[in-house]
Amino acid sequence: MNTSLLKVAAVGMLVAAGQCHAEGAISFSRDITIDRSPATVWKYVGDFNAIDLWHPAVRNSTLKGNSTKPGAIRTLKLADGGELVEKLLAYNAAKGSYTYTTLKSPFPIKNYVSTISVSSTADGKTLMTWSATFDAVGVDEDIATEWVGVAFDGGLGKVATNFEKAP
Amino acid sequence: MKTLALKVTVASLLLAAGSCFAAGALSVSREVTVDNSSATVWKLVGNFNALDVWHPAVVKSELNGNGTKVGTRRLLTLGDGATILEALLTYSAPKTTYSYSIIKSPLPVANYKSTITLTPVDEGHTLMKWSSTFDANGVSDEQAATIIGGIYDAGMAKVVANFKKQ
Repeated sequence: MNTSLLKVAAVGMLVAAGQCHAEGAISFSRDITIDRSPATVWKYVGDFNAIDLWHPAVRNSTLKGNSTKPGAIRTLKLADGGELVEKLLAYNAAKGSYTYTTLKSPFPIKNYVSTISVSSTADGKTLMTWSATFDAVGVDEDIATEWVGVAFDGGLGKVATNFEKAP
Repeated sequence: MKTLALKVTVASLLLAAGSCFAAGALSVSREVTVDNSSATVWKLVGNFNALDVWHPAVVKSELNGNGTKVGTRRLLTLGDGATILEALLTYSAPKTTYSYSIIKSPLPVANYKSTITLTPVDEGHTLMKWSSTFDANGVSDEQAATIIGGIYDAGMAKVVANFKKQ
Protein backbone atom coordinates (compact mmCIF):
# COMPACT_ATOMS: atom_id res chain seq x y z
CA MET A 1 0.00 0.00 0.00
CA ASN A 2 2.77 2.40 0.97
CA THR A 3 4.74 1.33 -2.06
CA SER A 4 1.85 1.89 -4.43
CA LEU A 5 1.10 5.25 -2.90
CA LEU A 6 4.75 6.19 -3.30
CA LYS A 7 4.67 5.08 -6.92
CA VAL A 8 1.54 7.10 -7.51
CA ALA A 9 3.10 10.12 -5.86
CA ALA A 10 6.20 9.68 -8.00
CA VAL A 11 4.13 9.48 -11.18
CA GLY A 12 2.21 12.57 -10.08
CA MET A 13 5.45 14.46 -9.46
CA LEU A 14 6.92 13.43 -12.79
CA VAL A 15 3.80 14.47 -14.63
CA ALA A 16 3.72 17.70 -12.64
CA ALA A 17 7.36 18.38 -13.49
CA GLY A 18 6.65 17.88 -17.17
CA GLN A 19 3.59 20.11 -17.30
CA CYS A 20 3.94 22.68 -14.57
CA HIS A 21 0.75 24.63 -15.17
CA ALA A 22 -1.38 22.15 -17.07
CA GLU A 23 -4.77 21.21 -15.66
CA GLY A 24 -5.06 17.66 -14.37
CA ALA A 25 -1.38 17.33 -13.54
CA ILE A 26 -1.88 14.18 -11.47
CA SER A 27 -2.83 10.99 -13.23
CA PHE A 28 -3.95 7.84 -11.53
CA SER A 29 -5.25 4.47 -12.69
CA ARG A 30 -6.36 1.18 -11.21
CA ASP A 31 -7.54 -1.99 -12.89
CA ILE A 32 -8.90 -5.40 -11.98
CA THR A 33 -9.55 -8.61 -13.88
CA ILE A 34 -13.02 -10.13 -13.55
CA ASP A 35 -13.86 -13.71 -14.49
CA ARG A 36 -16.87 -12.74 -16.65
CA SER A 37 -17.47 -11.38 -20.12
CA PRO A 38 -17.27 -7.60 -20.68
CA ALA A 39 -20.92 -7.74 -21.85
CA THR A 40 -22.03 -8.95 -18.41
CA VAL A 41 -19.78 -6.61 -16.42
CA TRP A 42 -20.93 -3.65 -18.55
CA LYS A 43 -24.55 -4.26 -17.45
CA TYR A 44 -23.39 -3.56 -13.89
CA VAL A 45 -20.99 -0.65 -14.44
CA GLY A 46 -21.92 0.76 -17.87
CA ASP A 47 -24.97 2.79 -16.88
CA PHE A 48 -23.81 6.36 -16.10
CA ASN A 49 -26.74 6.63 -13.68
CA ALA A 50 -26.18 3.35 -11.84
CA ILE A 51 -23.00 3.82 -9.82
CA ASP A 52 -25.36 3.50 -6.83
CA LEU A 53 -25.41 -0.24 -7.67
CA TRP A 54 -21.69 -0.90 -7.60
CA HIS A 55 -19.95 1.72 -5.46
CA PRO A 56 -20.24 1.17 -1.70
CA ALA A 57 -19.90 4.89 -0.92
CA VAL A 58 -22.71 5.94 -3.29
CA ARG A 59 -26.20 5.67 -1.88
CA ASN A 60 -28.27 7.06 -4.77
CA SER A 61 -27.68 8.41 -8.25
CA THR A 62 -30.20 10.63 -10.03
CA LEU A 63 -29.91 11.78 -13.62
CA LYS A 64 -30.64 14.88 -15.64
CA GLY A 65 -30.52 14.16 -19.37
CA ASN A 66 -29.92 10.96 -21.30
CA SER A 67 -27.48 8.60 -19.58
CA THR A 68 -25.71 7.76 -22.85
CA LYS A 69 -25.44 11.34 -24.19
CA PRO A 70 -22.56 13.71 -23.33
CA GLY A 71 -23.87 16.52 -21.17
CA ALA A 72 -25.98 14.27 -18.94
CA ILE A 73 -25.52 15.18 -15.26
CA ARG A 74 -25.67 12.73 -12.37
CA THR A 75 -26.05 13.80 -8.75
CA LEU A 76 -24.61 11.27 -6.32
CA LYS A 77 -25.74 11.14 -2.71
CA LEU A 78 -22.96 9.57 -0.70
CA ALA A 79 -23.47 7.22 2.22
CA ASP A 80 -21.91 9.80 4.55
CA GLY A 81 -24.33 12.51 3.36
CA GLY A 82 -21.97 14.25 0.94
CA GLU A 83 -22.91 15.05 -2.64
CA LEU A 84 -21.11 14.84 -5.97
CA VAL A 85 -22.31 16.35 -9.23
CA GLU A 86 -20.73 14.90 -12.36
CA LYS A 87 -21.14 15.41 -16.09
CA LEU A 88 -20.84 12.82 -18.84
CA LEU A 89 -18.22 13.81 -21.42
CA ALA A 90 -18.13 10.75 -23.67
CA TYR A 91 -20.03 7.45 -23.87
CA ASN A 92 -19.34 4.43 -26.04
CA ALA A 93 -21.31 1.26 -25.27
CA ALA A 94 -19.69 -0.62 -28.17
CA LYS A 95 -16.24 0.00 -26.70
CA GLY A 96 -17.45 -0.40 -23.09
CA SER A 97 -16.21 3.00 -21.97
CA TYR A 98 -17.40 6.34 -20.61
CA THR A 99 -15.70 9.54 -19.48
CA TYR A 100 -16.98 12.14 -17.03
CA THR A 101 -15.90 15.20 -15.09
CA THR A 102 -16.72 16.41 -11.59
CA LEU A 103 -18.68 19.66 -11.32
CA LYS A 104 -19.11 19.66 -7.55
CA SER A 105 -17.33 17.50 -5.01
CA PRO A 106 -16.50 17.43 -1.28
CA PHE A 107 -13.04 16.05 -2.06
CA PRO A 108 -9.84 18.14 -2.21
CA ILE A 109 -9.48 17.85 -5.98
CA LYS A 110 -10.27 19.88 -9.10
CA ASN A 111 -10.05 19.52 -12.89
CA TYR A 112 -11.06 15.90 -12.40
CA VAL A 113 -11.62 13.94 -15.62
CA SER A 114 -12.15 10.19 -15.31
CA THR A 115 -12.72 7.20 -17.58
CA ILE A 116 -14.23 3.82 -16.77
CA SER A 117 -13.70 1.07 -19.31
CA VAL A 118 -14.16 -2.67 -19.68
CA SER A 119 -12.30 -4.71 -22.27
CA SER A 120 -11.83 -8.37 -23.07
CA THR A 121 -8.67 -10.17 -22.02
CA ALA A 122 -7.06 -12.84 -24.20
CA ASP A 123 -8.84 -15.57 -22.23
CA GLY A 124 -12.31 -14.00 -22.38
CA LYS A 125 -12.29 -12.34 -18.97
CA THR A 126 -12.83 -8.64 -18.36
CA LEU A 127 -10.22 -6.02 -17.61
CA MET A 128 -11.94 -3.12 -15.86
CA THR A 129 -9.91 0.09 -15.73
CA TRP A 130 -10.73 3.25 -13.81
CA SER A 131 -8.41 6.18 -14.49
CA ALA A 132 -8.39 9.91 -13.84
CA THR A 133 -6.42 13.11 -14.15
CA PHE A 134 -6.90 15.90 -11.60
CA ASP A 135 -5.22 18.54 -9.41
CA ALA A 136 -5.01 18.75 -5.65
CA VAL A 137 -6.81 21.60 -3.88
CA GLY A 138 -5.37 22.77 -0.56
CA VAL A 139 -3.70 19.43 0.21
CA ASP A 140 -0.54 17.64 -0.88
CA GLU A 141 -0.80 15.78 -4.14
CA ASP A 142 -0.27 12.46 -2.39
CA ILE A 143 -3.21 13.17 -0.06
CA ALA A 144 -5.45 14.04 -3.01
CA THR A 145 -4.28 10.93 -4.82
CA GLU A 146 -5.01 8.80 -1.79
CA TRP A 147 -8.61 10.08 -1.80
CA VAL A 148 -9.00 9.01 -5.41
CA GLY A 149 -7.27 5.68 -4.81
CA VAL A 150 -9.57 4.81 -1.91
CA ALA A 151 -12.61 5.74 -4.01
CA PHE A 152 -11.45 3.59 -6.94
CA ASP A 153 -10.56 0.63 -4.71
CA GLY A 154 -13.98 0.75 -3.05
CA GLY A 155 -15.83 0.54 -6.35
CA LEU A 156 -13.55 -1.96 -8.08
CA GLY A 157 -13.56 -4.15 -4.97
CA LYS A 158 -17.35 -4.35 -4.97
CA VAL A 159 -17.47 -5.17 -8.70
CA ALA A 160 -14.92 -7.96 -8.22
CA THR A 161 -16.86 -9.35 -5.26
CA ASN A 162 -20.15 -9.28 -7.16
CA PHE A 163 -18.80 -11.55 -9.88
CA GLU A 164 -16.91 -13.95 -7.66
CA LYS A 165 -18.11 -17.50 -8.09
CA ALA A 166 -20.75 -18.55 -5.62
CA PRO A 167 -19.44 -20.91 -2.94
CA MET B 1 -83.86 -32.86 -24.40
CA LYS B 2 -82.37 -35.55 -22.19
CA THR B 3 -79.43 -35.86 -24.53
CA LEU B 4 -78.79 -32.14 -24.33
CA ALA B 5 -78.92 -32.18 -20.51
CA LEU B 6 -76.50 -35.10 -20.48
CA LYS B 7 -74.15 -33.28 -22.83
CA VAL B 8 -74.19 -30.19 -20.60
CA THR B 9 -73.52 -32.31 -17.54
CA VAL B 10 -70.62 -34.05 -19.24
CA ALA B 11 -69.24 -30.71 -20.36
CA SER B 12 -69.33 -29.28 -16.84
CA LEU B 13 -67.77 -32.42 -15.45
CA LEU B 14 -64.96 -32.10 -17.95
CA LEU B 15 -64.52 -28.43 -17.06
CA ALA B 16 -64.43 -29.32 -13.37
CA ALA B 17 -61.95 -32.10 -14.03
CA GLY B 18 -59.89 -29.68 -16.09
CA SER B 19 -59.71 -27.12 -13.31
CA CYS B 20 -58.53 -29.79 -10.87
CA PHE B 21 -55.47 -30.23 -13.03
CA ALA B 22 -55.16 -26.63 -14.19
CA ALA B 23 -51.74 -25.45 -15.32
CA GLY B 24 -49.71 -23.89 -12.52
CA ALA B 25 -51.22 -25.67 -9.53
CA LEU B 26 -48.20 -24.98 -7.31
CA SER B 27 -47.16 -21.57 -6.13
CA VAL B 28 -44.04 -20.22 -4.47
CA SER B 29 -43.47 -16.72 -3.16
CA ARG B 30 -40.53 -15.04 -1.42
CA GLU B 31 -40.09 -11.52 -0.04
CA VAL B 32 -37.09 -9.59 1.23
CA THR B 33 -36.53 -6.02 2.37
CA VAL B 34 -33.67 -4.30 0.53
CA ASP B 35 -31.84 -1.34 2.12
CA ASN B 36 -32.20 1.22 -0.67
CA SER B 37 -34.85 3.11 -2.64
CA SER B 38 -36.99 1.26 -5.18
CA ALA B 39 -35.57 3.54 -7.92
CA THR B 40 -32.04 2.35 -7.15
CA VAL B 41 -32.93 -1.34 -6.64
CA TRP B 42 -34.90 -1.32 -9.92
CA LYS B 43 -31.71 -0.38 -11.81
CA LEU B 44 -30.37 -3.78 -10.78
CA VAL B 45 -33.37 -6.13 -10.87
CA GLY B 46 -35.55 -4.24 -13.37
CA ASN B 47 -33.37 -5.08 -16.35
CA PHE B 48 -34.84 -8.28 -17.85
CA ASN B 49 -31.42 -9.02 -19.34
CA ALA B 50 -29.28 -8.58 -16.21
CA LEU B 51 -29.94 -11.70 -14.14
CA ASP B 52 -26.27 -12.51 -14.80
CA VAL B 53 -25.41 -9.52 -12.60
CA TRP B 54 -27.55 -10.33 -9.57
CA HIS B 55 -28.17 -14.09 -9.50
CA PRO B 56 -25.20 -16.19 -8.34
CA ALA B 57 -26.17 -19.20 -10.50
CA VAL B 58 -26.40 -17.23 -13.77
CA VAL B 59 -23.15 -16.41 -15.58
CA LYS B 60 -24.61 -15.06 -18.84
CA SER B 61 -27.87 -13.54 -20.07
CA GLU B 62 -28.40 -12.83 -23.76
CA LEU B 63 -31.41 -10.99 -25.10
CA ASN B 64 -33.41 -11.55 -28.26
CA GLY B 65 -35.55 -8.44 -28.62
CA ASN B 66 -36.13 -5.30 -26.55
CA GLY B 67 -35.69 -5.74 -22.79
CA THR B 68 -38.97 -4.01 -21.96
CA LYS B 69 -41.21 -5.42 -24.72
CA VAL B 70 -43.54 -8.37 -24.22
CA GLY B 71 -42.35 -11.42 -26.13
CA THR B 72 -38.65 -10.65 -25.68
CA ARG B 73 -36.62 -13.74 -24.87
CA ARG B 74 -33.59 -14.11 -22.64
CA LEU B 75 -31.22 -17.06 -22.78
CA LEU B 76 -29.58 -17.70 -19.42
CA THR B 77 -26.39 -19.72 -19.09
CA LEU B 78 -25.78 -21.23 -15.67
CA GLY B 79 -22.44 -21.90 -13.99
CA ASP B 80 -22.60 -25.58 -14.99
CA GLY B 81 -23.26 -24.74 -18.66
CA ALA B 82 -27.00 -25.51 -18.63
CA THR B 83 -29.30 -22.99 -20.34
CA ILE B 84 -32.76 -21.62 -19.59
CA LEU B 85 -34.87 -19.86 -22.21
CA GLU B 86 -37.49 -17.43 -20.88
CA ALA B 87 -40.02 -15.01 -22.41
CA LEU B 88 -41.14 -11.65 -21.06
CA LEU B 89 -44.92 -11.66 -20.48
CA THR B 90 -45.49 -8.19 -18.96
CA TYR B 91 -43.25 -5.24 -18.11
CA SER B 92 -44.10 -2.03 -16.24
CA ALA B 93 -41.25 0.28 -15.20
CA PRO B 94 -43.65 2.73 -13.45
CA LYS B 95 -45.04 -0.14 -11.37
CA THR B 96 -41.57 -1.72 -11.02
CA THR B 97 -42.79 -5.18 -11.99
CA TYR B 98 -42.39 -7.75 -14.76
CA SER B 99 -43.56 -11.27 -15.46
CA TYR B 100 -42.01 -14.02 -17.53
CA SER B 101 -42.42 -17.67 -18.40
CA ILE B 102 -39.99 -20.52 -18.96
CA ILE B 103 -39.93 -21.82 -22.52
CA LYS B 104 -37.16 -24.39 -22.10
CA SER B 105 -35.12 -25.40 -19.07
CA PRO B 106 -33.59 -28.34 -17.20
CA LEU B 107 -35.65 -27.40 -14.11
CA PRO B 108 -38.25 -30.03 -13.06
CA VAL B 109 -41.22 -27.71 -13.64
CA ALA B 110 -43.84 -27.06 -16.32
CA ASN B 111 -46.24 -24.17 -16.96
CA TYR B 112 -43.93 -21.85 -15.01
CA LYS B 113 -44.95 -18.20 -14.81
CA SER B 114 -43.14 -15.81 -12.50
CA THR B 115 -43.37 -12.19 -11.37
CA ILE B 116 -40.80 -9.89 -9.79
CA THR B 117 -42.16 -6.77 -8.08
CA LEU B 118 -40.56 -3.94 -6.10
CA THR B 119 -42.66 -1.94 -3.65
CA PRO B 120 -41.29 1.10 -1.80
CA VAL B 121 -41.40 0.71 1.99
CA ASP B 122 -39.93 4.16 2.65
CA GLU B 123 -37.28 6.39 1.06
CA GLY B 124 -34.49 4.00 1.89
CA HIS B 125 -36.14 0.57 1.87
CA THR B 126 -37.79 -1.59 -0.76
CA LEU B 127 -39.82 -4.78 -0.56
CA MET B 128 -38.75 -7.20 -3.28
CA LYS B 129 -41.20 -9.99 -4.08
CA TRP B 130 -40.51 -12.93 -6.40
CA SER B 131 -43.40 -15.36 -6.95
CA SER B 132 -44.54 -17.99 -9.42
CA THR B 133 -47.05 -20.65 -10.33
CA PHE B 134 -46.03 -23.92 -11.98
CA ASP B 135 -46.46 -27.69 -11.98
CA ALA B 136 -43.93 -30.29 -10.92
CA ASN B 137 -42.38 -32.22 -13.78
CA GLY B 138 -40.78 -35.56 -12.89
CA VAL B 139 -40.40 -34.78 -9.19
CA SER B 140 -42.82 -34.40 -6.28
CA ASP B 141 -44.65 -31.11 -5.72
CA GLU B 142 -42.56 -30.53 -2.59
CA GLN B 143 -39.28 -31.09 -4.42
CA ALA B 144 -40.25 -28.75 -7.23
CA ALA B 145 -41.31 -26.03 -4.79
CA THR B 146 -38.07 -26.44 -2.81
CA ILE B 147 -35.95 -26.09 -5.94
CA ILE B 148 -37.77 -22.96 -7.13
CA GLY B 149 -37.74 -21.42 -3.64
CA GLY B 150 -34.01 -22.11 -3.38
CA ILE B 151 -33.39 -20.25 -6.64
CA TYR B 152 -35.32 -17.22 -5.35
CA ASP B 153 -33.54 -17.27 -1.99
CA ALA B 154 -30.11 -17.27 -3.67
CA GLY B 155 -30.92 -14.38 -6.00
CA MET B 156 -32.63 -12.26 -3.38
CA ALA B 157 -29.81 -12.80 -0.88
CA LYS B 158 -27.40 -11.38 -3.43
CA VAL B 159 -29.62 -8.34 -4.03
CA VAL B 160 -29.86 -7.74 -0.28
CA ALA B 161 -26.07 -8.07 0.06
CA ASN B 162 -25.46 -5.68 -2.85
CA PHE B 163 -27.32 -2.87 -1.06
CA LYS B 164 -26.32 -3.66 2.50
CA LYS B 165 -25.00 -0.53 4.20
CA GLN B 166 -21.27 -0.71 4.82
